[in-house]
Amino acid sequence: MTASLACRASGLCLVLAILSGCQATGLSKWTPANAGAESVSEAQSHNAIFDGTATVGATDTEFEVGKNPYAYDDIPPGVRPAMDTREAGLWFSVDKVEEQSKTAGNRITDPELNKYISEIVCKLSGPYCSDVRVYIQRVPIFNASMYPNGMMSILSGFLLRTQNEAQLVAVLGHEAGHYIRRHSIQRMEDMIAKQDFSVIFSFVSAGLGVPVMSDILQVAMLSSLYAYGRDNEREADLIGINLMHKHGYDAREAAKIWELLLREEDPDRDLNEVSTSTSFSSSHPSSAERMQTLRQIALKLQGPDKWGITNKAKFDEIVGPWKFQFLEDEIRLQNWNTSLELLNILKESGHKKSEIAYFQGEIFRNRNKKADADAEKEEDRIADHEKALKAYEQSMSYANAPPQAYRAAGLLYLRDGRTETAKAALMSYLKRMPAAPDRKLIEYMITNASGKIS
Amino acid sequence: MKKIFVLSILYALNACTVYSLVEPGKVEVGDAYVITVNSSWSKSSHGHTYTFTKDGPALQSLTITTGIKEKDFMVSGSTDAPLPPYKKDLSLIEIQQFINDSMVALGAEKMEFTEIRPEPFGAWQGIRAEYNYFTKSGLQIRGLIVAAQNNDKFYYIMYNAPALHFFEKNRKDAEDIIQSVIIKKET
Repeated sequence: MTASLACRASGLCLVLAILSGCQATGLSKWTPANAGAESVSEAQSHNAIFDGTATVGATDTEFEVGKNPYAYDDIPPGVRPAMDTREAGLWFSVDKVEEQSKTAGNRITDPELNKYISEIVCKLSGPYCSDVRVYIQRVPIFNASMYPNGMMSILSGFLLRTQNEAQLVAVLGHEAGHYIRRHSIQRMEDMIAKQDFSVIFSFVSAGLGVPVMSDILQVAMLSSLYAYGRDNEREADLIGINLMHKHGYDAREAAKIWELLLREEDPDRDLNEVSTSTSFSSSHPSSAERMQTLRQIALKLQGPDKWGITNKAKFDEIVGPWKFQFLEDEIRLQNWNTSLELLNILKESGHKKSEIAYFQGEIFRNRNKKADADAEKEEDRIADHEKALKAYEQSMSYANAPPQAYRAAGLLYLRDGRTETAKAALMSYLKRMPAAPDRKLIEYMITNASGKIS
Repeated sequence: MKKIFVLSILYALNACTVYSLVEPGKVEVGDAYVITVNSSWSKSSHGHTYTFTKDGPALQSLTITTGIKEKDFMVSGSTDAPLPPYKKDLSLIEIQQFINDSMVALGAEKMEFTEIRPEPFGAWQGIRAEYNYFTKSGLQIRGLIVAAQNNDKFYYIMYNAPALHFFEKNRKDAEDIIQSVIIKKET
């Protein structure tokens, strides 16, 4: 059971957690007052929390804006749970996951990238620095996860979408918050306690001859479990933004992550009108709620006129070079429209224009949508083939164009029968990438100037 | 009756691939071509592919296709990411990209080609590629593939095995099978 930034398979997470099969020994001290609340009213109540005196409504939590994130006493730094506790069992099962992660085929082991991110995590974790370990994985999904034993998983799809160090810190701080507040064990205890109550209630209701009450209770229990998880996420968001502020980062960047995700999902959406409601079966608050809440907290922390650091230059130096292969992975997902908007966002954030144009070409070439004769817009009447070629040519107009742009353009020139132009493009590719593994293939294509198989 | 029932249940629970022995000699691959096998292999069938192995598919697998039609996938099975459908008339470059994207969708991590060059597949002009990748659990796999297109269908023979020991162990067997391809007729 992990606490993650954006677990999309919330139902599966819940089932897995139930299957963990640990025995209940009692509730943790942190319990949400809002368990069972849902939808718009729930979101509104949380938004209200952050502009007032700022406790989250729980009876004994100190879930506050501006609170020292290390002041919680849930887990002392540098310790493991005692062997006779339920938490130790949970840690033990996750230790095995961590062992597998160490040698996983998709793990990014680059020393520079790992050092950069691990140092940020250490800085954010404060006294818990030695308790948290970072694993970067090449998975083209926007997510990061914190496991109860201190294993932090960071996916490349998240790094691709992060624009500066401040945004990175918002999420890494969120994940550190899950560890500091022991959210995984809290959720498991909450689940077990509710299950126990459910079993007793089912017996009683059946004995009284009203078994339908049991079904109603099941729905209420599920709603309550998910609401509890969402409260954990809200608290982790708050800890994350508090950590940003504590370390001098621009807290407004936290909301920007969610703003850009919403835009990627639907570029035409009016972000001022977007609903903050959350489904009762969501494991996380909606992106819109998180965006709005984090905006309010940033305003409260920094005021309207103060700015923090973003460390964009350092972030671009270390993470920037990885984005080319992260984009290759992204395009393989075949989410063409989402990826096109992601490229627009990356372009605005200062990513190399030559790479943006190349990947636009890759999307059009792979999508290969035929021109629609009935299309009203001029843009829609142009076949993807032409759009791809135009994008590659734009990429090649920059001095730092990726060599692959020349190869892809050569391919399309061949399709158009522009043999000499194709040869020139393919030769440019080889000139820019002398050790290309496909050199012999390209040389063959240049010689035969066809590329088609008989 | 009880015995049959128990055996049926066991068979259903097993739900595993059924293998048959391939003796040295000629083997017809669909309607398109014939290969010659010099040593014994175990063979299983999955849709438009045969899988040959000696020690088990995790230790070496030779995948031989009977021909993939447009919009079909290079391989069958569940994948993490969407498989790219085959589009007819791929260029030589696009064949390599089609192979790469299919393998990555199947779960090949850090897929890296070491050499890609033109090579005939029987009488058809095709490409040959050698590559490395890692499984999800971190095992390094080496592979080679020879692929070609003919009459809007895609054909390939692909050999994959752990880089440590097993790839070289049966590489020659795989190469011999690839070199033995004889196109039956122009389909």
